[in-house]
Amino acid sequence: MSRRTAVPLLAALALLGGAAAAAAQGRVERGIPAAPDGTIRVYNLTGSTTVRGWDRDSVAVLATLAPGAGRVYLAGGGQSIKLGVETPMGVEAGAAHLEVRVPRGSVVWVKAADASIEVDGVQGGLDLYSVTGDVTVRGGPSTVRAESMEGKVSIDARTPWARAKTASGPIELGGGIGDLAATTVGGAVRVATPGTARARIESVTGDVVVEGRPDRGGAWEIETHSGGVTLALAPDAGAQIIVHTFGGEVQSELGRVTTKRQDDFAGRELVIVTGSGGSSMVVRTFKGPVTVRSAR
Amino acid sequence: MTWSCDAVRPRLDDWVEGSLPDAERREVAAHLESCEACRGEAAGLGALFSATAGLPREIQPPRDLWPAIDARLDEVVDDAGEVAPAAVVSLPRARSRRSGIPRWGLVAAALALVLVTAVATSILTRRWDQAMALKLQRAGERAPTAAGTMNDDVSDQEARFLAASQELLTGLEGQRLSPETMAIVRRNLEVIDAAIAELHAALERDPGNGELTRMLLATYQRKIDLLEQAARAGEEG
Amino acid sequence: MHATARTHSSVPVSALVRRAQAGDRAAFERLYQDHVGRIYALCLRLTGDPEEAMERTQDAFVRAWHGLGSFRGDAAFSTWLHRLAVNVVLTERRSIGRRERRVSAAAADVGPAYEPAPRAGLGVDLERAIAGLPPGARAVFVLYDVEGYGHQEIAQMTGIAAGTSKAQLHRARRLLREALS
Repeated sequence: MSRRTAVPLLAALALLGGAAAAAAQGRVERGIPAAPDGTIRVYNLTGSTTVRGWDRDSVAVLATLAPGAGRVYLAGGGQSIKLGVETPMGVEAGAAHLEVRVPRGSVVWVKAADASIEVDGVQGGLDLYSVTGDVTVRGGPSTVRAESMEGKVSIDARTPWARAKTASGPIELGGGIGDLAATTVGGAVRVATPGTARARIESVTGDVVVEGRPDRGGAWEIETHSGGVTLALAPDAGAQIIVHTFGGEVQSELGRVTTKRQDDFAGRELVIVTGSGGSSMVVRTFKGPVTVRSAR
Repeated sequence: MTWSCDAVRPRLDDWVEGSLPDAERREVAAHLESCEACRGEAAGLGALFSATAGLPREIQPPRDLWPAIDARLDEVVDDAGEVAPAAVVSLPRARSRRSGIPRWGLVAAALALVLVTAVATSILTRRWDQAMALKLQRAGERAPTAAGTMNDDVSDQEARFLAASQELLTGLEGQRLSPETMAIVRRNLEVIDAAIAELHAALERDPGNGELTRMLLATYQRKIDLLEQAARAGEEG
Repeated sequence: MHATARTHSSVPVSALVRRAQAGDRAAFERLYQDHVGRIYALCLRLTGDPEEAMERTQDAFVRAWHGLGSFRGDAAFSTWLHRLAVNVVLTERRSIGRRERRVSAAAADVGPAYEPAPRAGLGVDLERAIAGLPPGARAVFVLYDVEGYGHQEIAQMTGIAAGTSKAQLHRARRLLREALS
């Protein structure tokens, strides 16, 4: 990071004093020593927050502040560090763009209102929450929890465990998530299969697309109310797909289709076997259209 | 060393009822042999008990109550007799007796516009939830199907979900969420509630359908998920 | 608790209950006839006032009708109905407010409407004396000594502590003995 202003680094509790100083801020740099695997909590309501893992034993933040963004603070030390932007009360805060560097092994926790959140290169657990901002995760975190009500949640990371949740924002998952769960009301969900042993995807009206070659032994559950479900599978993918639907259309251009039950009231149940089976995908929908096709 | 009247008097009730432990019973009996005052007390208690036992188990009311009862059987029950206050801000919640959820009333709205918006939002959803709770009760009153017990369990679970979502909604009102956030919540709640309504309608045509029931409960869970997500927005941590 | 319900009808209670659950009003009316005596006696002794007791009895049966869906038949119907009636009376008293004045008036001079079934001596006096008890003590006495509930059950139904229930019972018995002596 380059230094543009001569703001001294503080080693202990550090809160900038003075609203006047805050209002005049353009860029702020702060740094503090940190344990290699401590917990970093970041609060930035408006603007953007980017967190990257690095190999130093310190946390550093470079903040670019619009007028009225508020005060930057960086406090704590060792295992527990808190940093963020304290926004002025009663007025709409200006945007603050934070670039944060943390030790790679850190556990990172970020909370935002409409700020976007991006995390890369962190190997500890992640808990990321924004109301309307996008949340993006890359790298190899040990666990991920990423939520945004209206923003897009995107996890492209190799991780054993990830939970993505939106209300109306889209969700994109891939990169090798061992145990994944995606929950949304109306957001469009897109999931790449490789590396996933267990998956649970739940939507009310959002469409769901699952792509790729499901791992052998993978167990997938996809449930929607009226959202469409598309399984776009590699031609040689092996899957046993069970579809329960009450009013939705079911189309498959792959595999052998067997109708197990057809009943106006009890709905339809179909079994589709592609390749030599090997993974299990259960699709339940009330009336969403279900399509099984070849991945393009 | 025999017991005094002070030790015996408090135990007389239990002694007459026969519920004193053996050792104490012997002490009381020993005392009564030589204490006329306490014997009198015991006798009085005994007389009270026999008189009580002799009270008629049934008493017919002075007039036939059936016509009045019959007239009320068509009532829509959504309160246990409490009168709904007229003010919009104090909506009593529909009570689901099955799971014993206690009632509460909304706290009077604060002055901030944000809170008013929050209340307005919740009134919308609360009315919907009240309507759902009513439907649940009526569903419970209908003829049980072959899967009658399952219907009860489902209604119980539904009632629990409704209670949980109403608690969360109350929590949301307490926090000062932005109007934008509340609008997001409201929009998505409407989507979920519409889905729940469709599932209910389908269940009415095919009661006891396990798959539909599962979907219904899963959709309720979406509602809880949404409200919990919104609640996080207002939390400090 | 007292013995199982006697039914005056020739149809077993369980069949009537099932039919009532299915919406058969005639079956429910039979259940009403079979149980109204018990329920009215309970309400009368708990409230000390015949008009109020009749209202509560009606409330109880109406509530029973609406709540039949939740009756699973794992306990006797009469037990279930009885508890429901206790709940109706106690809830009503809490929400509308105590009618202490009416009760004390009943104690001093039992209103002309209250004519307990003619019984020799102690029976009639006892009913009057019960009606004259302070409400808390009366409720516990009726539930414990007359109806046979235990202190824990009473605590659950009334919202008071089990210890308070015992204390109220002692008080009730003492007051009753004084009133009758």
